[in-house]
Amino acid sequence: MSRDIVEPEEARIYGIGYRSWKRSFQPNSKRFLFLTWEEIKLIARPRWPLYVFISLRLIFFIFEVLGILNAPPSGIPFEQYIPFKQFYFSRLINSGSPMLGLTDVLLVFYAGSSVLSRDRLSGAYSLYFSRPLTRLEYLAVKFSAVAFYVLSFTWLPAIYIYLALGSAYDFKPVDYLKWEYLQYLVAVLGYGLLIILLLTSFVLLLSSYLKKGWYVGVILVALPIVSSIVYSILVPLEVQNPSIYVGPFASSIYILAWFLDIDKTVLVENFGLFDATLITSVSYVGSMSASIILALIAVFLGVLFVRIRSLEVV
Amino acid sequence: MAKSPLIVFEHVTKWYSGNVIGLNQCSATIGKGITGLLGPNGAGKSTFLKLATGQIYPNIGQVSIFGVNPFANTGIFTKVGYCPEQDAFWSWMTGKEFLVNLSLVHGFSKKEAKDEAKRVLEIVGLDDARADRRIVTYSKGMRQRVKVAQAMIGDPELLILDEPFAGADPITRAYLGKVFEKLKKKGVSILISSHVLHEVEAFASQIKLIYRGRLLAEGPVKRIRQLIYDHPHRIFIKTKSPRKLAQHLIIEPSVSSVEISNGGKNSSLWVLSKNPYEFYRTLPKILIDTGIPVEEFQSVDDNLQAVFDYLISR
Repeated sequence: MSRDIVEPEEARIYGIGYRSWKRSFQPNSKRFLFLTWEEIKLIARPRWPLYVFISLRLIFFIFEVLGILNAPPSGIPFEQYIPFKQFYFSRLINSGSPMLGLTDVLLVFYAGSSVLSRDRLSGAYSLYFSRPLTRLEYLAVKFSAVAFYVLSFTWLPAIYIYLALGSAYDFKPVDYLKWEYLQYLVAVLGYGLLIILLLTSFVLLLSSYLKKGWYVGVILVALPIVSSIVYSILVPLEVQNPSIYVGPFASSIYILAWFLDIDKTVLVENFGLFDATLITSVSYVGSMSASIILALIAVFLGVLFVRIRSLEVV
Repeated sequence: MAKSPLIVFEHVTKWYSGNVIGLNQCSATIGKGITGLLGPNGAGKSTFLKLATGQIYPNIGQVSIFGVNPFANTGIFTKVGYCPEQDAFWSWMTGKEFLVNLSLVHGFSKKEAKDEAKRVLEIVGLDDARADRRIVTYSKGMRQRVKVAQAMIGDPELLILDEPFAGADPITRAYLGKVFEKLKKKGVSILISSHVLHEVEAFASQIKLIYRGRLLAEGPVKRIRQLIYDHPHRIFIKTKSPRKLAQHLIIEPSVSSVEISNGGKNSSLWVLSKNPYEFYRTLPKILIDTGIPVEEFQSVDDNLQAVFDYLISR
């Protein structure tokens, strides 16, 4: 029995060859924005964590409004209550941590813990690193996507507390934009940015080394616990400025106080921060802590870049 | 045309953790045209290609591609397209979305990226409804086509393809073979790895045999083919109708014997051929005529192993 030889269907070739692109590629900034947006969509793709985080923010919002309305003792109008910035500060630190609390740590963990390990395990490194995309650009995309995703949630309470407080203090619409008040919102957003950049760079660094995302979670939970244990040892010893030695987790409150220009005595008398008696001044501890955080961000990102730069796609 | 080599390996040694040697004192040059990199599984082919594309770096020696060190040098990928061996997909996307996204990573604008995805899909014969299906639903053959397509994004001068035929059905193999032939005619250089000579002999002008991390032989395809086809060739076919397929195969002059293993649902055939070239040309016709579906198809490297044994023992 003889058979015909099968010829496969004819291949079609369009313009392949030594064709050089006469057109230039789009600017790197546009590509960066596109890739960052794609990465954000990827982080937000599983819907239920997104709904959980949004729900938590809404619940905090309701509690905030109720908390603000019930804050002044009855009969005392808001204008005669504590100054705006103090009230803002108190809502941020005393109302179940609506900002930079557990939710935000969970957010950073969720968004960033597997962002690099996922690419490593899925083989996506070989897709990215066989394109004219530098490793620095790749890292910048990942970092920006995680930071933006988390910040969109983290900044939300800062904004709605500002708006709710403004309403309580009888702000006219134009008052919200007056620098006299707006500076406090900017300070709080800046504080949030600082902390989220620190957490994001730390989590991405861990993600580049660890094989499983939940390892990152363990470290994220362990660090504040260890910090508070060390802090509780230092305070009875009356070590001056103990929070500086313990690190960002203990000192962040002083950064916020420094940004909002809250006095040391106010911290002790109005907020019961008796540890504040050990500090030299709010501005000293705040500025030192902010500097340490900036230095840590630089170190984390530097190590991360060296790590990605020398990474082999095995 | 200048005869400057595209890729140069100078005394390159690469080892992995655990003292596993990937490549051992390998010196080679890859020129223009199509070069087949042949060797059994674990011979060092993927290591060779990863070194050439800068996915990994050599422990000893130097690698250059287009005259530059490729490691983490993503600029070369304006000229080089790389198809990795392992599946690396964003499998929740459709084939078209995947290629559009990679085109955007490459630096194309949105409009150009769509055109580019369409172009490469046409080349690999997926420019139909299948392109709009999610990759997760693709057969192995379709995945291979998409992988090859992504390597062609940006019209590279040099394609580096790591086992593009692995696991693909005979029709896909034949189709891609035709594509590479056409590319060759258009002046595109290709470095393609395989563990079976017949897969590359139709279009490769030069063959490099690699074994246990060492370059064992190199030369024109005719000489290598003669060397290899002196030995019997074994082919593995996984099908739900092994007996029916065996009936049709055994009457073929190119088939020496057919063996059925595991008589259940997941049965497979082992075919021994003395004339594999003829066998690979007639098999697609048999499959089309009989309508027997093939789930997996592999040319095992026993025959190549025999050649290597012969070369080593000389």
